[in-house]
Amino acid sequence: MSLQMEDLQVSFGNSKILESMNLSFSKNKLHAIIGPSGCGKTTLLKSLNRTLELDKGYQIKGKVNLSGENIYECKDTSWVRKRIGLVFQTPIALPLSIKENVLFGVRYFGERNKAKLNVICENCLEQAGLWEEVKDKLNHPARELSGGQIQRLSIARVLAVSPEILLLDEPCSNLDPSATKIIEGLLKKLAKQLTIILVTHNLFQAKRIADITIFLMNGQVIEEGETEALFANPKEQETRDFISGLTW
Amino acid sequence: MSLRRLIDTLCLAIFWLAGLLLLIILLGILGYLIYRGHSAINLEFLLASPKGLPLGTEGGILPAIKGTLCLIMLAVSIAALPGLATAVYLAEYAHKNVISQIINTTVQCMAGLPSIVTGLFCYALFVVRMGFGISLLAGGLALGMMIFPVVVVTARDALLAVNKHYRIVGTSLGVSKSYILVRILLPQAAPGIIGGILLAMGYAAGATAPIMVTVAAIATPSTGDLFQPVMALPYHLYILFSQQVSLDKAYGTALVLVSLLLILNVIAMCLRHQKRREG
Repeated sequence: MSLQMEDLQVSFGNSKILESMNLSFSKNKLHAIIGPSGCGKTTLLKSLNRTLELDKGYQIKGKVNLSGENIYECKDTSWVRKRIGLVFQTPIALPLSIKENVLFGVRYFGERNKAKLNVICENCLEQAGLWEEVKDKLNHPARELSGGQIQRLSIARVLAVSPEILLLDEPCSNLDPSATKIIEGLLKKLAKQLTIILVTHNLFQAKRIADITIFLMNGQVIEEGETEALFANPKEQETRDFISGLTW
Repeated sequence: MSLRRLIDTLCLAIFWLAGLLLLIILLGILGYLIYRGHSAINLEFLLASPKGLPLGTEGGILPAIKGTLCLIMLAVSIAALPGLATAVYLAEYAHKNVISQIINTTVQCMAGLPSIVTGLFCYALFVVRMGFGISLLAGGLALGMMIFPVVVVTARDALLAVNKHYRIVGTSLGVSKSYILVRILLPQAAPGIIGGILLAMGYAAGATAPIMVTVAAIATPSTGDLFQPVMALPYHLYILFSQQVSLDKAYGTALVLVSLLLILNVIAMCLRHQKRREG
């Protein structure tokens, strides 16, 4: 499923956070959004599944089209958020068991069949690369897991409601290198089935795993393109400065 | 010793002494009640009705215990659900606007209302206007009204103390507010909410002013009939003491009342402690 932003503008009070964004996210590709702190990366991500409007004070204009349908014209925000899942920077385990964490959204959307629920739980944990580690303690409280495991559990929880687009907001920023490596491998695998948009501060991470990289600065897209090309031969001076570490 | 360290030590000593003073006062009251009241406490005192002339010089306080328990239960049944619903509205649904501010201020004003004023209002409304008479129902309603803000404030704070990320995670999955409330927020806030209700029960058990004008009788069997008056521990204590009926029995009654309040507070504290451990 592809996602397009058409002239999306976000402001908070009198200050503009995103200026007239026109971006297209292709199906089954891993997109990395990079840029200095405060450039609007997280705002962009949150505006893509309508969680930004939960924070009071933001004005959002323009369109975000999911398969040709503007999500901002859709009255059912629940439907939008189910189709475009979001994983947060901080690993968060709901105060439930590991299994119930995965099935939290699935149960809400009406699945009652025990056998089906078990299959969904196993598949999603498998996809998130967590099954082997937790298969014998599915009914244990999720808070017993490590930070890296909780982040993968968060991914499994989002995958369980079958999203078509997966948004991730710096999912590895609180994790150690080995947990980061596991998640990066997992995202590369998931990109074969899903459109992934990853906000990251880690340029090496973007270089390692993204198919497409988008460089944002002061709420504007400075440059976007194939990751390899963008890092090897950036067209814009700002991109060059950022990649070489001159701008942060 | 440097000046900064001296100031630090002084501050520590002042705060420590303040805490100690509070403890001494509390233990002093309790100790004095035990010292003066223990001789009155026996099985007959707990299980018999007041006897003698003037009434209360002999016998026990069973109808007052029964009456107080009936009043607490009735007050909690009246205040708990509306209080919880108001708390949920304020913590989860209310936008920061004039209406929610008015409700918040009203709840705070209600909490600060002198209990005798609540009693007087309930006397005028329930006893006289609605014709309930001096009755358990009128007293329960008065106490319910009195503890309502306590339930609202404690339940609201318990809900607001739940990790805000749970709401964001749930919402970003497309899950509705009410589902997150039922499956996550209320179970997480439950120890705090129940603790608040227990504290409110303690508050109701000890209140004298509102029941003086709505429910309390000097002597009655306290059958639990909603339209009959009942005896209550604080009012019985007030009569024993103010009419100089029997100071021993007054201290005995006070000890029973304080023990009841202490039990409720200890349960509330345990629940809060459990929540902190789990959180």
